[in-house]
Amino acid sequence: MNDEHEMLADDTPRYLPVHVPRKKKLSRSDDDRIFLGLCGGIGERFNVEPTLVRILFILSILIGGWGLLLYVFAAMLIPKSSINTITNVKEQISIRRINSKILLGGTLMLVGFFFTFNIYGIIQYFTFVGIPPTTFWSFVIIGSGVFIFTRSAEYPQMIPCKSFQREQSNRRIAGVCGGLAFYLNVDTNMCRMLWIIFSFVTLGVGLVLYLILWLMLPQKELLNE
Amino acid sequence: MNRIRTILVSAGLIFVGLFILAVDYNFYEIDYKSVLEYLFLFWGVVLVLTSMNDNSRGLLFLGSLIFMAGIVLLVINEFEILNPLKIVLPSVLLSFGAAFFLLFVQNHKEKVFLFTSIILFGISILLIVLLKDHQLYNIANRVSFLILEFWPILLTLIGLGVMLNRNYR
Repeated sequence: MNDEHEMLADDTPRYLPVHVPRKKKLSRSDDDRIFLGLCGGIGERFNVEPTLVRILFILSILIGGWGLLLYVFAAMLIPKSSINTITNVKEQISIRRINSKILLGGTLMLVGFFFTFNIYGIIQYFTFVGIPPTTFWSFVIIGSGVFIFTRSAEYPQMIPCKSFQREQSNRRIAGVCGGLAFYLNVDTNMCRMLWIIFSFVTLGVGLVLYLILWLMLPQKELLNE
Repeated sequence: MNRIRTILVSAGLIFVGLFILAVDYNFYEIDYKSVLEYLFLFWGVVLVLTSMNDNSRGLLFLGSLIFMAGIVLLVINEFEILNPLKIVLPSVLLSFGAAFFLLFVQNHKEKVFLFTSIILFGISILLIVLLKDHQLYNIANRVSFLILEFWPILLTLIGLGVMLNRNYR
């Protein structure tokens, strides 16, 4: 046994260099982040879509607000990643835009849920981490003010398009909302939904306006044509 | 984002948060609505003035809508109107008309915005002057009332739409 061991020691190195991939440490993502990068970090570590983690966190705020507190504590404990996984600037900008959409959509949903509960009288059962809802909302508003102030400089300015045309590639009916969204540099779906609500409220004035714009506006040519 | 706009918008939000806290803890008593209307006017002016020069058309449109909403709130709260619901529909049309008109002011080449705003102004004036007792007008006001009642559900749907449509254009 001993001889055998010595022979092994003579011919081959004792510890073979086996390339086992090192387990990624759980850290806060610097590339894919909205607030502190915790959801992005969890997504990267467990190979899950970060959006799903974010949606879970947003929904957890409704359960007494404890999810928000958990987020803050976890962010304090988990260190920030020092490695930038995404080096491509275009990809970084794209991720930031998607993240800002998630933030906007999530905030709208949260506010919507809260006031829907208020309509049905369920809100009286909700307290946020033991504090009353109005106090919670005041902190949310102050936080969003601080967030806008600190983060707005990071988002690059977009150069808007020069003319209002009907979109050919991004359209549902005639591409009017797609064209308007492109001209205003806003989310197309939001533009469409607002147009539908506007048409509904004004008993079809929006629909008539849509038809007029369909006739008046030129159609944008496709890029590959 | 324009630096001045960022400072003013975020300062406004921080002020609102602090104000709600102060009212909540009984530092002073004041009606939320009266502060909200002036804040809407303030944000509207800030967004319109700062977006006019730096090509932020989305914010210009939003700013003009917020400003008009502030005016409507001011009229409803400060003046005695027998039936405030009657002014909802013309206000919506006037607000959107004003927003489209400002888009034309920002870019004179887009005559389509001027045309759209004229149509909207025309319909709202028509509703106020000619069709004020028409059945259709009453139905429209009832629909507007429903929207005002159930706006949180619409807000949730819009949020869901923005979240699901994540791919950039």
